[in-house]
Amino acid sequence: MSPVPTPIVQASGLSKTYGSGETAITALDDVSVDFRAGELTAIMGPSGSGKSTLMHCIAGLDRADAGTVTIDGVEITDLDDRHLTELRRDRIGFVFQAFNLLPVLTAEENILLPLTIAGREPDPEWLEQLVTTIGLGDRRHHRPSELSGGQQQRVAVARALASRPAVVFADEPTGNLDSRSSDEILGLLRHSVDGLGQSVVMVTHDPHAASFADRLLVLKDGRIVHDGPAGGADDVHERLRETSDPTPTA
Amino acid sequence: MRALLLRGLRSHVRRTLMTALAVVLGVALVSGTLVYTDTIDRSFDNLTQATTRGADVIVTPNSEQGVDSFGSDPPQMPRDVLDKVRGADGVREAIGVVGSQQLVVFEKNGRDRLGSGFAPGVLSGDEPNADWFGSTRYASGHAPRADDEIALDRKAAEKGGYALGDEVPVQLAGPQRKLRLVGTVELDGVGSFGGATVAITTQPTAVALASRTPRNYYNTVAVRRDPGVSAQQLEASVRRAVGGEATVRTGEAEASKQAKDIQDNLSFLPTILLVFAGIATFVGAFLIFNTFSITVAQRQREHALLRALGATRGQVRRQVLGESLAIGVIGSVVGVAAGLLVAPGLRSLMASFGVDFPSTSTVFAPRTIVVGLLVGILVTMISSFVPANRATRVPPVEALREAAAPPARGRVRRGGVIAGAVLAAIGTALLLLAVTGTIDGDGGSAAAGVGAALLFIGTALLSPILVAPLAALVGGPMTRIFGLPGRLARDNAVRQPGRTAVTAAALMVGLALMVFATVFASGMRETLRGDLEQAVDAPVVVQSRDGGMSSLPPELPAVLRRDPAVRAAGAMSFVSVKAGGEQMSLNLADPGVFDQGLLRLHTADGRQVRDPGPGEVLLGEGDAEKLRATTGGTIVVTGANTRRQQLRVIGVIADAGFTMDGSWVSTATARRLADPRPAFVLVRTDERPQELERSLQRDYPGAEVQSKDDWIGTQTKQVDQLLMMVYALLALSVIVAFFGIVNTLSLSIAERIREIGLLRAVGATQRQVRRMVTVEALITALLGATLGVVLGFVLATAVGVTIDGFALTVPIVSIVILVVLAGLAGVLAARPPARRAARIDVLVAIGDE
Ligand SMILES: Nc1ncnc2c1ncn2[C@@H]1O[C@H](COP(=O)(O)OP(=O)(O)O)[C@@H](O)[C@H]1O
Ligand SMILES: [Mg+2]
Repeated sequence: MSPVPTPIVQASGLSKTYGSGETAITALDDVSVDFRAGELTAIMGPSGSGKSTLMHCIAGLDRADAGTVTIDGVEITDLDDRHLTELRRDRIGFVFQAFNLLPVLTAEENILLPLTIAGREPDPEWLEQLVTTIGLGDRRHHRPSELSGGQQQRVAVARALASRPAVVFADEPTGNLDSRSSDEILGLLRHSVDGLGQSVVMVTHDPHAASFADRLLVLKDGRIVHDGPAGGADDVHERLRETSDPTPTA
Repeated sequence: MRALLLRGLRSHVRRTLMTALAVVLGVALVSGTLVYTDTIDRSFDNLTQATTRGADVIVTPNSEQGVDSFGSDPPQMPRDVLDKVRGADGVREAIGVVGSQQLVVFEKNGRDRLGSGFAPGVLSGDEPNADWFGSTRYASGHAPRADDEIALDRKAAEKGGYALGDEVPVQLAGPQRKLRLVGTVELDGVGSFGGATVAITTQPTAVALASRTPRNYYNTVAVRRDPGVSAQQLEASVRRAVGGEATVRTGEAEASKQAKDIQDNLSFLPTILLVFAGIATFVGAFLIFNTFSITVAQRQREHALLRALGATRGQVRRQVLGESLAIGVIGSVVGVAAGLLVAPGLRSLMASFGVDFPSTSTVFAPRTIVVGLLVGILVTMISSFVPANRATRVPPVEALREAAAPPARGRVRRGGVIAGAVLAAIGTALLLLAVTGTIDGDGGSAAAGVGAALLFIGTALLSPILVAPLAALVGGPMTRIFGLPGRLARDNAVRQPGRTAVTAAALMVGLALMVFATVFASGMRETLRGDLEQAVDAPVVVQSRDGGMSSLPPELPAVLRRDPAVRAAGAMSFVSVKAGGEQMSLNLADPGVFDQGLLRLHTADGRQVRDPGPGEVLLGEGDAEKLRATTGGTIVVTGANTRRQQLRVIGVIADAGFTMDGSWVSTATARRLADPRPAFVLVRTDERPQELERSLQRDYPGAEVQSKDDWIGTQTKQVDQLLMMVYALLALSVIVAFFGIVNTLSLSIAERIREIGLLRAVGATQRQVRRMVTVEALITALLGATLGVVLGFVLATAVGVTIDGFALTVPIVSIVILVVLAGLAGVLAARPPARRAARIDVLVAIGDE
């Protein structure tokens, strides 16, 4: 391990504009940011500030108009769809807000999905460890419809970790969950960083969720307006208040 | 509500179009059939009117209604009829026409017949100055004046590449002759008389070609009236003059009688084609049903919201039915119009099988429009009725639920399965009643049709329970080959068993009928082969080069017998007669055919059949049963020429087999009833077929000499021809089913956008997604194929076992080919939805919507 953590994802000069002319919306405005390995980063910001767009661009789901993205040493800007897909498959894990699992597959099959897609044999010990970590127990052969929302989301986290990706992206992973389930998921993500050495980038608008992170990025109008340690939930509130409009509404 | 309806149609243009397409195809075939057959009828009307136009009265031979002249020439009148007519009051002019429908006009090589299939070669020997009769117009040249001259219809001359002055080889009775082409004719602007080859010669030449005798001479006598005499007066006086010897009608009456006869003879054509149109429409109904079922399921929330907002059940039902009405109307209108394109297609299809009827100007009758619209709209409405009802049962609370993901595993509706079993049972019972003859005649056909339809619907309703096991069967190897895509495809196919089942069932119908036809045809082929092999004991058979379609000159057996190497030769021919009020086909045997063992058949007591003598008949088992006649009894038959003949039954043949089952009289006996022509000649000779053929080359180059085995081969090939035609007509149903797969998959994929997006997000390549969709289509298609093969086989067996001596065979190769083709069709059908699935935007799919 080198003493200085190397960036696992590097974005530089990312810009993205939707529409054109008078109705054009700048979703990302020349954003440059590095994500370090072994860190849990929370991205926050008001609705429409460009969080999802940033995440989609740095995760290879969408293309920026300008700028470059390097994931785990691979520059993805010019990759074609197939290589981009394979990169997602092998080097990136995803947790979405909802609809993370294929209804026809069992929980365990869903966890192994990225490996199965790649045609790789799963490592049984690793699978055991994942199943144990997410506390699925005897429900591993159930289908998603037979699991609670929290259980489903835990399966999704395990799925994201299954291929030991370089980085896990989570877009509002707790958006649809009650506070107990939320804490379980956030604990899991935290554990994946601390216990398994994962790197996680999480978009959220919940300060409590952000307080689980090492680092807090705040976006506004497509720019990064804050970058620093996350601290507790109160600190997060403070950062958000500082970066919001001088005349706050409600 | 109406605005909502339109919005719904517009926002699902693709689905609406696909569904409408199913209606279009079925209706187009219905409308096309009507246009095609109406056009034929009208063309024949025009032609018969044209060919009788100049005559006020036409005298024709007495002929028995309902007896066709298959295998023989229609009857003729004695020569003196013309003199009697000329002696009648009010006759200004009368001419006689000597003709035949058995003329063979050859191509330039003198060997192959000009024109093909069933279209006859019509010979007409006119008297000089007969140009007032009919509207025969010379397109080039002039009417034959010398006895070695001939005129052909323009189409025939073009087909044969004949120019004025060329020698045209022709044959009817006697050695082949070469006549010089001096003119080409058009019949009322039509180049061709329904594919028939029309040849005109001088009357003496026609008499010689057809070997007419004074007793059997004229086909037609045409009469023109004196000024001041009406056609009716002329008719009466001519009738008085000819006595009962011939039939006298006004020109008009004769034209409409001929047209009606032709229509009656062709009535099988619209019936058969409409059956196939009905099948395509029936398959379309599956597609419509499926589309509406899926969309109703997908719009559950929309309907629930409507209900929550106060819409009544009736309003929801009307919304769905309104949509189906719109689709029905659009599809039917387009379908009726498309019929105009289908009609020429049908015509060339039939022509490619040698059935070429005239079609002068396209007839688009109001009846066609009405029938087409009714069929299309009714089928659409009926097919959408069940889905519409299902829509009304959505509870309003559904609206408040989370956006439902499509279920991972759908349930099989028990009610559906029970209903399916009941319908299948009723269908089977009806089919059994029909094939065993318990219900016969038109009722039997109806029972068979309804029975088959019920069996298909029943199987479709039953088949959801088969989806899972069959998908496992097919999906197992797919998973092994394709990995995850195969696995997901299998699971996806099983998710909505009803949906997959109905999609597969649509394919099942077409395929079952194809398999039925294949198994039946293959059984027929083997039965025919077996029967012929057993009965025919001649090493060599002579028939015309067109596969025996045209007859042979009557003297050919005698010519063959003069060959020193030939030990026995006898012709077989056929005539139709009436017995017991129904048409019956008689087989005719030349002397020696049985006595010299060219054919070997036995009666029930094991005795070999001998040649029937004058006034004797050997009954086939079927005829004996139908006529309730036994050995020693008599039957009375009436020939096409209205003559009655009492025949003594000298035996009942027991071992002829299904295809050879028929009654036999001597050729001489049959000559009193009709004008039979040899269909083929059975020969016992020491020569090889090639040697015998060479010896016939000069006078009979159109005769083909084959070994018994080769000849049996050409006979069975006709069964294959028929099978090809059935395939071609069923193809449209399969195409409709194909659209069904496209449609169902497209709708299912629209439903699974998020799943596919997720798959793509976590690393499935476009190719893997395409594969997943393709394999699902493959599973569906193979499911349909499996069901179709089983059902088709069961149907063929059911029909086969009721036929005595039917050799049931399993045409494995053909069936495998059909299944593989079905699979390929499935793969092809998957292409558009697979491509769309692969292109699904990951971001849209995983978005918050
Ligand atoms: N597909 C799109 N088309 C047009 N505008 C879009 C699209 N996606 C996002 N936007 C706009 O870009 C801006 C940033 O959106 P997004 O990244 O989704 O913000 P956040 O996730 O922070 O709410 C918003 O103004 C949004 O309306
Ligand atoms: Mg967002």
